[in-house]
Amino acid sequence: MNDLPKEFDLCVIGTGFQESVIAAAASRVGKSVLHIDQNEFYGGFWSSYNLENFMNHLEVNKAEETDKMCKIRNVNQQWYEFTDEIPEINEWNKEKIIKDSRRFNIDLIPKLNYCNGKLVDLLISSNICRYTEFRAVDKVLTARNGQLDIVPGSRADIFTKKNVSIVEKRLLMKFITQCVEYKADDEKKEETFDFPDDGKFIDLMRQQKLTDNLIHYILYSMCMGNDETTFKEGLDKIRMYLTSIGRYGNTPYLFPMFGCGEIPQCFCRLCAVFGGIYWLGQHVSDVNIIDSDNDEKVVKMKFGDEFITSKKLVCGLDSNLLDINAYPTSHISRAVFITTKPVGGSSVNSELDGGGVVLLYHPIEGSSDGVTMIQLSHFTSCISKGLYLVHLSTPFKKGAQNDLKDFVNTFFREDYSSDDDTKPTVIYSAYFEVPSSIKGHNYVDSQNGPIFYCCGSFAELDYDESIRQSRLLYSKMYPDDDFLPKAPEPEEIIIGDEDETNSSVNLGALADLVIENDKSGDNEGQETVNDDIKAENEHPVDENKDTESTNDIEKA
Amino acid sequence: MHGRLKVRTSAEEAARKKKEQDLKAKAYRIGMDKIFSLRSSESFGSELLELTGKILSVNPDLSTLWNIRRECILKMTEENKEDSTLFDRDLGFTELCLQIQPKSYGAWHHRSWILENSPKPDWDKEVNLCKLYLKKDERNFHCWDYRRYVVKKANVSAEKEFEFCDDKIQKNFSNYSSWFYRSQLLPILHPHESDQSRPISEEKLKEELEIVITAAFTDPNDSSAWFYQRYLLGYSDPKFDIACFKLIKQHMIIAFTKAVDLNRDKISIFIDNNCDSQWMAISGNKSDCIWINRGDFEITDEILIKVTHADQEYSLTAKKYDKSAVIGCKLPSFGYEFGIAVKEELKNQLESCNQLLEFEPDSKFTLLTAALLMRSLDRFHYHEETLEYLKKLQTVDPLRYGYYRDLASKWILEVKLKEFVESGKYEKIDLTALDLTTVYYNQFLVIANEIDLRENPALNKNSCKFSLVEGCNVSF
Amino acid sequence: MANNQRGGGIQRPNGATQNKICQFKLVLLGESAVGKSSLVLRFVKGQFHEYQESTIGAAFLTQTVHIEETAVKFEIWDTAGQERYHSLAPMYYRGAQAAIVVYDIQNQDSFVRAQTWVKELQRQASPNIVIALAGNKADLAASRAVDYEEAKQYADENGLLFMETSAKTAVNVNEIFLAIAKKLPKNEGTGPQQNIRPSGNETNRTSGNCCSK
Repeated sequence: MNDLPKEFDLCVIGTGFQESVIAAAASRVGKSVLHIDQNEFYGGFWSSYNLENFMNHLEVNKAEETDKMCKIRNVNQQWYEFTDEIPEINEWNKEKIIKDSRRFNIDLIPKLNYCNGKLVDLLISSNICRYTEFRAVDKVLTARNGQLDIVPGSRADIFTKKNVSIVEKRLLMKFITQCVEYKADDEKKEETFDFPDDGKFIDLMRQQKLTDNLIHYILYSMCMGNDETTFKEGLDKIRMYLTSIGRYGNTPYLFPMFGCGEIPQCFCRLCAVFGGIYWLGQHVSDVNIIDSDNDEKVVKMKFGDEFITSKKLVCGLDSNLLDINAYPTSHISRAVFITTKPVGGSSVNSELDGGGVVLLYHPIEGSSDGVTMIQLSHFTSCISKGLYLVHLSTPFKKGAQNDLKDFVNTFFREDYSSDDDTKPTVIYSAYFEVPSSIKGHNYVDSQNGPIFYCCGSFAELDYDESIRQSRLLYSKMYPDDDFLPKAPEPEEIIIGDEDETNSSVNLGALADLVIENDKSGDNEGQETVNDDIKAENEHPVDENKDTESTNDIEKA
Repeated sequence: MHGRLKVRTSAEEAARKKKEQDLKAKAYRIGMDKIFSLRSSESFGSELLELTGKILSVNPDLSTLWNIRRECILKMTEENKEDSTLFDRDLGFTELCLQIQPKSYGAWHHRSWILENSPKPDWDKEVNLCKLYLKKDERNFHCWDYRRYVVKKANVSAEKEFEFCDDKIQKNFSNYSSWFYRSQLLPILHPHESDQSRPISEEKLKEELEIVITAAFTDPNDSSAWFYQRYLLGYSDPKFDIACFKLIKQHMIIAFTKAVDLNRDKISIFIDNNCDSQWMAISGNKSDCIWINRGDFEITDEILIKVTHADQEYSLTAKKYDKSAVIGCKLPSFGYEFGIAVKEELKNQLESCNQLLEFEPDSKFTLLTAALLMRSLDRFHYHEETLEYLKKLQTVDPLRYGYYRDLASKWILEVKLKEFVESGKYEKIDLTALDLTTVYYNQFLVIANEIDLRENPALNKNSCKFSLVEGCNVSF
Repeated sequence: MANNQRGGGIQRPNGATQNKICQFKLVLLGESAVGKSSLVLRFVKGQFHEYQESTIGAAFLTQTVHIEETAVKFEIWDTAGQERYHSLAPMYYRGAQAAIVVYDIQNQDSFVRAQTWVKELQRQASPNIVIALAGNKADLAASRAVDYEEAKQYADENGLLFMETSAKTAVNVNEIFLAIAKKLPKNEGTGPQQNIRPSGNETNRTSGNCCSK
């Protein structure tokens, strides 16, 4: 650790989503950042694991089970019991699956992103987008009386949808168009809606003569709402849905290739690119706030055998420095299944490979919450070909198994029947509860530094609340600095002693024309052009001045 | 701390851009000069190919360079006509250009030129290429045109092509090219059972009407589906036919359903088997619906008129009307007569429209569709109702006020014309006080001695070509 | 002296026009200070700096090489120093179609570490990844600690491309990238739907071997 600097502008403990965003943002504007994690891997609760690591990680947490809020709890893992009669299902059994462990990327906190949502916007505006790849969600499902159905989201879907009459098609298209065009302060309300913001969205839809069929698609699926959803909430949701659709795919959602664990890592990479130092598997101890030489409060802490100081310290949810009592936390009930068939069978899977990513939101009777199912196939590089990874999430009420019971019974089976096309058999199941933060709670105002605490995940489909909280925290920490301004493109960067304007002139295929012409030397005044072309990006230049000069030095 | 990040300032970046632009312009000039000097010295070889390639790969819209390239390839392959290497390489080259500009006329055209000239054209490969480009942009009409061309060469079946088209429509129905292609393939795949003038069978027509109304209801603002619907319902351009014929002592008049140029279109008119070429367009234009032949003619009891056009023969028998005129007239086809199944479908669609009108009484597209459907079912039975719809449309859609009035004029004239032709009384047609804006079907009216158009204040008199005919008295 | 050692340069057979543009993600791996960034800088910008520090903000460069009728565009990722405390994020080599694992021929440890990286790639990266092993600082052969034959044998056994390179004198720098470009499959398609990399200009940048065929 000798070469590690002893003073930092910022030390971040934990590589979860918010910690990584803060680290990247600080590094981007020139702060010196030390970013560590007690784990040997990135992401904390936001990490993706291969199958064996996932199973072990859950077991460790089970063994350590305590009252501590910021732990995974109530873990229950189970494998289908293969017998001599049924030694495998669709050519898979426990041994074969575990052998493929490395093909898995299993998230503790799986999330989707709206193509027009805050995360995608942030990735683009900060230029972090080049570090990551997504797959567009292939299908959005909804269920009525246990029957699965594909939600017609895009214009093409509505056009080809069979169980929606042409009159319904017109009503649906008209309604969603009005939602997109609606402006609250619009003078000409009669052209869209004249409806109070806190009125119920369902009443507006009835007023607009939408059929129950359409209300189901819009309210319970596109909006992920319920009968209590207000006009304003519903409108915001449907607008996000509709402005996202068609931007990158046929549904409004994106899922990161290799799992959501990639997302914090992308921010970490940006932090590193701008000089942030990364060290996994490290703790700090003896943390104290002291007065620095210039009367500022700084944080002094023991790192390895040495003391380091940092002007600010940021702790993640899984850091043991977090004061849980001062930090309201709740949980998300989770289940992870492995199956050999997609849910719904051939009724909703025409190509029978289940597509890539499938989303199903299902309201819970008598509750304002619903169960979110994200089903992944090998196209996401999160599971072997031929298997399906199913993530279920719902806000914690009575316990993961209890909260998800009805949903699981409706769409899955625990035994095996070769005749049942629609309900896949659960070969592996894991139930657990992950800590989460409470949406809408103000986590930032009470924090005055120099030690700051991050939020965990929120019970939301995407990262919007996490990003909102990150911005708030960052602007509290660094009120005068920009939040993740666009990182420069490679061609905008000046490396070494490059002559500023002559470099990176990119003429593509035309370059040779000028060079050849100059070589022929039958033109006057070509000197400048010749130099320009030498620096041209497309061709590594041979007669390089730097090489010459360094060699001259060597000779000397 | 590590080295600092240096980023070009906007001024520096602008300077760089400008330099790049200047150099590009310069490179272009140098290249063009070289190309022209090589060509004038007839140095057709790889150097010329390379130079044109460099510039075309940056700007594939320079047709001069494509021409030079073709000239060059022909010269280079003169010696060995069996060798396809050069052609194959150029196919690859056009593909690069298409990656840069998928809508380059020059590159697509050059591709077809290569295939026509290459000793070993691979048409199947071309079909796949089209598939790829239409996947990238399903509305690239350059590629659709090219596809129709290569598909013929590759002998792809109409069934396969229809499947392809259908898939594209399902993904995005705002696609004129694909609807159009569909309208070309259907008559091959599903010809009408008995009536040659009808493009597709009743059964298929029913399905097509369903698809198109679904598209129209899904997005009424997309006009591509509407055009297709008009086509299916037979509202597109009238087919060529004789409209009417009238002979008086001083002249003969023949009128056609659509404007033609007798000379260019190679149309021959036989009057009682005599071919006479003294026909003149009534307007003096090259192309016209109404043609006149002045002379001194005899009034006979019956005249057989035959017209040949594009290997088809059309005929009409004119009968002696009174002592001074021989007249023949065909009732124009205002649309198709549909069978029971199609009518059933049209009725269902009409019902859906009416259902929708309960929710949205002012929906312009629903009003117009309903009116069109009614006319397709029975234009005369629903005549008054459809006119009411048009009236309503004039108020709810004031931007198209004129269009709806013209349409009303057309429909009114259809009724009047039917009465006129069926009555057999050709002295006079009364078109007074009908609120006409324009006179459709006016070539059918030339047989009348008197056309009364008074009390039509908005009438555009220029639309009344029959007023040019001597002996046809028009009162405005 | 250095001028004579300028290597083969980028091959661009006269008269051949490129018909295809393929894009590949290439990552550099290896211990700190073996010259990863220098190799990239030599390849992309033709520069070499004796006391090169990790350049802030520039860990992502692109360069195109031409193989017969194909333009191969490398998206070159540098480690951004994350390897220093063994903390390189796995996302770094996810989806990479090519990797150059670099060691310093003067440093046996760096060669051992390179082998660990090769193992890691074989386990974690995409199965068809093209891996090249580069013994860098070949200009300092006088203080060599890793035997050429030993490294060559290791590379052969593991199906790796192998060259000893010098970012300083440019020996084998273009060559190693060119060798990788030649070995990369240029016609492979991805799944039924291609991956999406969001970008500001809304042209859906697709990943992988986005060749036109």
